[in-house]
Amino acid sequence: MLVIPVVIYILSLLTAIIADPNVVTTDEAETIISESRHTNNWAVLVSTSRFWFNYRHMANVLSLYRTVKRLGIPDSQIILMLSDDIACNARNAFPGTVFNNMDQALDLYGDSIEVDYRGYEVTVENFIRLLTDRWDPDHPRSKRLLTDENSNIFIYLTGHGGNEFLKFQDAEEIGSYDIADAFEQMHEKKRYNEIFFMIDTCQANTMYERFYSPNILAVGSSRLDESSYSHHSDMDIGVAVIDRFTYYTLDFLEKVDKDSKQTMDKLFDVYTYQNVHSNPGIRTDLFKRDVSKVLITDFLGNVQNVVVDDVEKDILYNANHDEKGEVLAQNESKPIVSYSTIQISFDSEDDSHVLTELSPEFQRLAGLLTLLFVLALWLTAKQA
Amino acid sequence: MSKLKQVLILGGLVRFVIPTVLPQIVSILSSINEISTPVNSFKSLQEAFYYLRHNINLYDGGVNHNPPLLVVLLSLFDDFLPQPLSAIAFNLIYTLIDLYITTILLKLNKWYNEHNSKRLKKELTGFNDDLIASFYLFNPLIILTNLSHSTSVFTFLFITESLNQLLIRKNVWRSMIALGLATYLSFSPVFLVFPILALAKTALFKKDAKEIYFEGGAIFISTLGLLFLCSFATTASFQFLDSCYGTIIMFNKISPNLGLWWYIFTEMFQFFTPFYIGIFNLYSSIFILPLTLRLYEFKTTAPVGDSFLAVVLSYIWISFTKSYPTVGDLAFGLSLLPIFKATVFPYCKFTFIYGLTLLVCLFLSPIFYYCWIVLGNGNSNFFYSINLIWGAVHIFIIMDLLWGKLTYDYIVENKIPEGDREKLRLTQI
Repeated sequence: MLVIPVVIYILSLLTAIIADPNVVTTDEAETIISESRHTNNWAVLVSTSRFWFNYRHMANVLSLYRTVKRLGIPDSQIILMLSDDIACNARNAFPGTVFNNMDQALDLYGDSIEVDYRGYEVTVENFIRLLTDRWDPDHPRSKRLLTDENSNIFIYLTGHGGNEFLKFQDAEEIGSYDIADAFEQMHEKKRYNEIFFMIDTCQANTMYERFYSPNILAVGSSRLDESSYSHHSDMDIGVAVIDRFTYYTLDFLEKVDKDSKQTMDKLFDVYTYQNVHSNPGIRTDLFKRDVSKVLITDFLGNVQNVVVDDVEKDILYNANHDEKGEVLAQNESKPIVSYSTIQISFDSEDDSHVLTELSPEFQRLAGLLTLLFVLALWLTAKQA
Repeated sequence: MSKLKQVLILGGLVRFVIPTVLPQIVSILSSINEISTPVNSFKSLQEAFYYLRHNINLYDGGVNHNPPLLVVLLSLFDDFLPQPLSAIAFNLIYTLIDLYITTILLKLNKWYNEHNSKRLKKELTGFNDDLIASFYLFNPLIILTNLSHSTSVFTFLFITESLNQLLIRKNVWRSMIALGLATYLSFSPVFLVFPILALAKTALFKKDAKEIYFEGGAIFISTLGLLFLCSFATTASFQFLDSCYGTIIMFNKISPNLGLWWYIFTEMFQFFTPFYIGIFNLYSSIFILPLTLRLYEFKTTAPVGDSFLAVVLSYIWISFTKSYPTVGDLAFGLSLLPIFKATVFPYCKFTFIYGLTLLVCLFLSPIFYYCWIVLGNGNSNFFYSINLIWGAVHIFIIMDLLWGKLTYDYIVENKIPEGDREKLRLTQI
């Protein structure tokens, strides 16, 4: 007996799916939306080193800035922290530019980058404050991480690091517990949906070992007691221009565009010892989704899932008919509602001060009558 | 065929054939803001036809500043004729209007010369008929205004008809009805009531003052009242008052044109806007009465004064202080000037100068507008400077004609003999 309703249900689902691609059942919509619950994407890209010989760290961050912008995250949702000014460094043979490759094909500095924290503003305190959003009330909005529980955040750190620390500005360091606690604060304050944490320093994997908040996917470039290496130097600039880990990351990401369905596991497959000359690590135990089903654009792009509803699109129809399809009365003006001392009045859009509706024929008739009146006046105004 | 007929036919052909053969010239000329302004452009009229056809309130869009009766009556041509014919019908209407205005100008010229011959007791001959006709029909600014199908042509028609009824037909009432129609179409002829009534008083000797002034004024006001009420009946609202006249008086549409107002309102702080609106409107009205009184033909003294000149100079003053002037306004005034060939022009001193200034204005104005808007390497100051010079041309004309007239009055009053007239050096009259 139960078979028949079930069959009917399945048949109706099938017909809905096959018949009209625009019609989406509620279940379908739910599955689409529940796949990744994020509605917006943020990126926090931090470079922590000073001095000319750390050119490659700035180039790392700017390359990822470019990638993330290219895949759609707007500047308003990217926090770019550059600890030193490499482009305008006195030792830069190509002033105003930052390259990440010897062929100097791409100027990462360009003329439309927005740096949110520059120079000495890139400190451990500011980084933690940024993550936890604990600022003075007059801290500008553009420098805050204004995420909510539907935000996927991509956090990228690069610089010089070591066993459970990352050096900031050659003067201080942030510890792995600090970042872990900051993430827990973010979790408690519902400031992220999922975090993708990527770190390219020496002994990077140690930095993510202390995380204990859910929904964090972490990638590091090298193990404990291992260094991460730079990829190559540019002879004209004189220093290394990119790190290996970031180089191969970019190599993969350059083939990804906004509508790509590439998954994270393909990115992780690129991280082999032969490529990066170190053992990169991936931490997935806190991340509940299967990495092979996570899209790259879930973190690095800004793609929203849109479910198209079947709604009447004709604006004129909508303006003149209500939800049930009945014709609305013209020139409806709603009354003034008074709530104690506050008077709220909703005036209809077209208050045209017209007494009645006149058809064009009537108007033309009135015009002709006026013409007759004036002619009559003219003819009778005969003076001797 | 007489020269006059040739001139009339040629003028009519120019106005009829060119837009029929090249219909796009109408829309090109309607977009040039020296020739047509938002208040009198043909494009807004066509927009109003569309609104009317689709039963939309004519004044909802803020585009249409034409009075409802004009829109409704002209839409008959637009709707009941198929498309190419309706454009030809409009060409025909505008051609006929211009030809009619020309014939009236000829009659005015004749009347003026007869009237002043009688007054000054010497034979005055002005220009020939065909010259007067060609000054109007072949005036390039008038041709441009006509080809752009600007609705100010209707205003010219009714002003001319008002003068016709007054001077040729000796009918003050009909003249006031025509002036009421002209005021209804565009606001500025209202200031011509005083000079025309003064002209009525001087030109029609038999009537007494009360009859002319009170009856004339009453008929003017009641014509306007009738037209407003009929417009209200046609559109079921008084919105047309704000759109048609409120725009002109309060300068609601601040768009660049040949006038003096727009720059002040774009560059001035908004705090001063009401002050400047008051000042500009005061300016429009304040000089009419002095001009009329100074040039009034008082009977008690010698035959000095020239009320017809007062009308023409008032018209040129109105064109100077209008909120939305066009080249057609000054051109209409200029085409009335040849009527004064015998009386005033012999004593005008620098016609050549303001003629050249006028030409310079006409060349530079579109160039500076192009530099400002299209190329972007000029700014509004360039264009406005030419507007100032355009206004200066009006003032030169008024000054020169006034001085010429007053010189002539001095000569007549003091009976300076023929030989001494050139040696006259007047400094204060």
